[in-house]
Amino acid sequence: MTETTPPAAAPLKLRVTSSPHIRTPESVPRIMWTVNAVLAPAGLFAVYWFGWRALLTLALCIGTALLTEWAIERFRKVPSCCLDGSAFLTGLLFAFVMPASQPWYVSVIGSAFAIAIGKHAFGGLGNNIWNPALVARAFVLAAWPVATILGAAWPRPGAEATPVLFDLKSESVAITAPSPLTDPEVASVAEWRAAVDGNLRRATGLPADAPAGQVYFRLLFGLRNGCLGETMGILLILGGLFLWFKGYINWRVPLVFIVTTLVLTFVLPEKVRLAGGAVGYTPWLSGDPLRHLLGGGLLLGAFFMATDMVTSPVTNKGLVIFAVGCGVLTALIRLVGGYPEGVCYSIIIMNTAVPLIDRFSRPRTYGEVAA
Amino acid sequence: MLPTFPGGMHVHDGKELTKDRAVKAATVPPLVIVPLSQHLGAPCEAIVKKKDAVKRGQPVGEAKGFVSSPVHSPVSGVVRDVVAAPHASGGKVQSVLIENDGKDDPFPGVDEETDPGGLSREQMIERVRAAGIVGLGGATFPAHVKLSPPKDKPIDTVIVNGAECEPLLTCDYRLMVESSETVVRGGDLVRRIVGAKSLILATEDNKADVAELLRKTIADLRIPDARVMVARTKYPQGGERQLIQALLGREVPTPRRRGLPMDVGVIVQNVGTCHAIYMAISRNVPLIERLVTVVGDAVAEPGNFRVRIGTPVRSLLETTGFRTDPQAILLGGPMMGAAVYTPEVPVTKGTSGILVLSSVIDAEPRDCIRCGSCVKVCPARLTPLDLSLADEAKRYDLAEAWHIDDCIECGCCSYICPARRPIVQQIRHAKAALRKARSAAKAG
Repeated sequence: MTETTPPAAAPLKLRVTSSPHIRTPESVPRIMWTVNAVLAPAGLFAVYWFGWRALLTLALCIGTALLTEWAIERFRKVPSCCLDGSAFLTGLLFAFVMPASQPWYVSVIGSAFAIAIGKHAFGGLGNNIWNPALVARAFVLAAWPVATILGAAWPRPGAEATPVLFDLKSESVAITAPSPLTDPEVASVAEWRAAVDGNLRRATGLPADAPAGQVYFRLLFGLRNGCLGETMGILLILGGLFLWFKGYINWRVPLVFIVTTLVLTFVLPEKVRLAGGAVGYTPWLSGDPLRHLLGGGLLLGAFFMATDMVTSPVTNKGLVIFAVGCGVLTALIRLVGGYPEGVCYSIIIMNTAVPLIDRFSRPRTYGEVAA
Repeated sequence: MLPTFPGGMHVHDGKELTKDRAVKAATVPPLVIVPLSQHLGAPCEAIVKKKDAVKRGQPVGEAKGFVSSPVHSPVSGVVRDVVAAPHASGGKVQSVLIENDGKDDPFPGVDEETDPGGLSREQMIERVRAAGIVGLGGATFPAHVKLSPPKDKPIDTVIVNGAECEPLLTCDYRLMVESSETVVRGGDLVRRIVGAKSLILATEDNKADVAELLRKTIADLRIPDARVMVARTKYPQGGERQLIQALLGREVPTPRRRGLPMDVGVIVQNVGTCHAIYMAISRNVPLIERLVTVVGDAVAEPGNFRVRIGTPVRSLLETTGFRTDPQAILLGGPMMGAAVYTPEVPVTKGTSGILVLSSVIDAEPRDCIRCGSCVKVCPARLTPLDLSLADEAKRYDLAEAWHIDDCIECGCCSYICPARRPIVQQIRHAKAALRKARSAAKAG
């Protein structure tokens, strides 16, 4: 053949690769760093609001996560992914779900636990069953129940809520304001509502007679006690919407998770701790869903934790089942369980159920038509 | 809302590079290579031998079996040899090498005009078969087989497929622009042959101008019960199962139960195939040339060419020239095209495009992060991530249980995967392993 067709200048060196020959610009590092960037404003706000302790906690958590990732990848002799943004994100999220005031060793041990046990023990990114940051939270809460109590840093008791930016004294302030979700102990069920409202005002640094609108406004804009990254609700909502717009999270998860929680916290009776160890229940259809939406970690959990790709189902149907489960468990734990906050455990429990959900929510194959 | 199918995705189509480049006749090379297998089904048997003189349009390979298709000499000249020659499939295929004498003498009967109105259904199907027409969209399924549905499968609709969903390719678009009349008439003939009531000419909204032209052509030719439908641009809309679902809302039964479009009363033929069917029936022209888009970042002068089947890719690329050193040459589009190892392979009936790229993707795959993107884009509604993992674990039994045989290998999953996993490649691998296991089970 070659003698009849004039040869090209030089013989072509061709490579044979499999189709498709074009690829999306999206990649794992791009997704991870985008999520980090989206969370950055809430982190900056935490440093402004909780002061230098928040910066220290963030730095320790992220730094330990990166270091642990690097060390374990060397040990496992796998290519280093320590800068792909995922370890950074795990460290960041672990800091976000903990009090800014937690001791330094809790930040370090918890963050190392998240990467080593939460992720690499299962085979690294993609193979873990549970959200690493939440597993670490569950671990440190069990290991150091007192040191991780909310509110050790902020605000000064009963004071007007002023940011404690670089207020070095705040470290020495003892246990103070409650979380907006703290269950007060009351003499009778009838007094419970007033006690909760008073508690909400203390948690947001407001005087006892402040109007309800002001309370919710402060909750939405993060002017409250809480975990490091969970307080600024508005930033979390905007960040979540941006991730949805980018296609990095499926809208079904936050929407169904949040709506389920809100409906149930409104409908179901809430357990009331009565003086002397007795238990009572509030009436049906009398809950305060706004307090549950803005007072705890629901927004952070629904937009940034339950949507974790690795530990959530892959089909729309599966994601809805998963999100309903998260919402039901969150509401039950908060209303009748032993903890004021239920987002972390509900997501971990539903993470466990993901393989099962995936198995029973396979899409109907094209052409698999009813005979 | 324009109709479309569930799943799939929008890919930057890059059609602006060649869509306004009118079709040029490519140089007919001094030597053509006509493979005896250019279609889905049994290969042909050579009916010429070394030193035989052949004319343009003369059959040189005879079909063996019903699902097969003859091949013809695209030039007049002398048979140099019948040997195994490089082929786009990766190996070598028995081919007829013909030295072109440059005279282009037609074989007796070729180019003779006939009024299709005087032909029976069977006569028309025989002309299509004898002309060696296969699906020109790339699947290369023999056209006469599609035109002969069994009596218990009545056809109500014929879809002329002008979706051309592969990025970068524009030869179907150019054909519709430059030969809308033969495309429409060809579609009409297909409808007559299968006895269907309605005729649909389908395209996507990135080619909305051609939809207007087709509408005008239908009106000018006074074709009854014909309409143009424009689908929302999405890959892989040109897959016949996807197109039927998009336009008619019908789902073709799974290939695992041998489901075919005719099971839902539809026949889909590519626009190029319709054009070829018209030429075969009314002018007695066998399939010896087709339109090919030549494009890619390593091509100096991209464009659309009318190419004789059997023209070596190298000859065509001499016309277009290189801008840089190519690293890969693909036959077909960027999503489903096959890379070739040498530019000596010939253009065959199924070659819709030649892509010349200055670089190939070198992506290091990582572990699946279960993002679910592949599930979202899969037009067959499979869970590609599971199939990929099943292949890695060599659990072909699971792959089979998860309907791997329904995969149409469109490549959406590999395209979209942020972990850069070669999912469709793994699926092909698992399919091949399953085929091997099945034939071993049959033999043993």
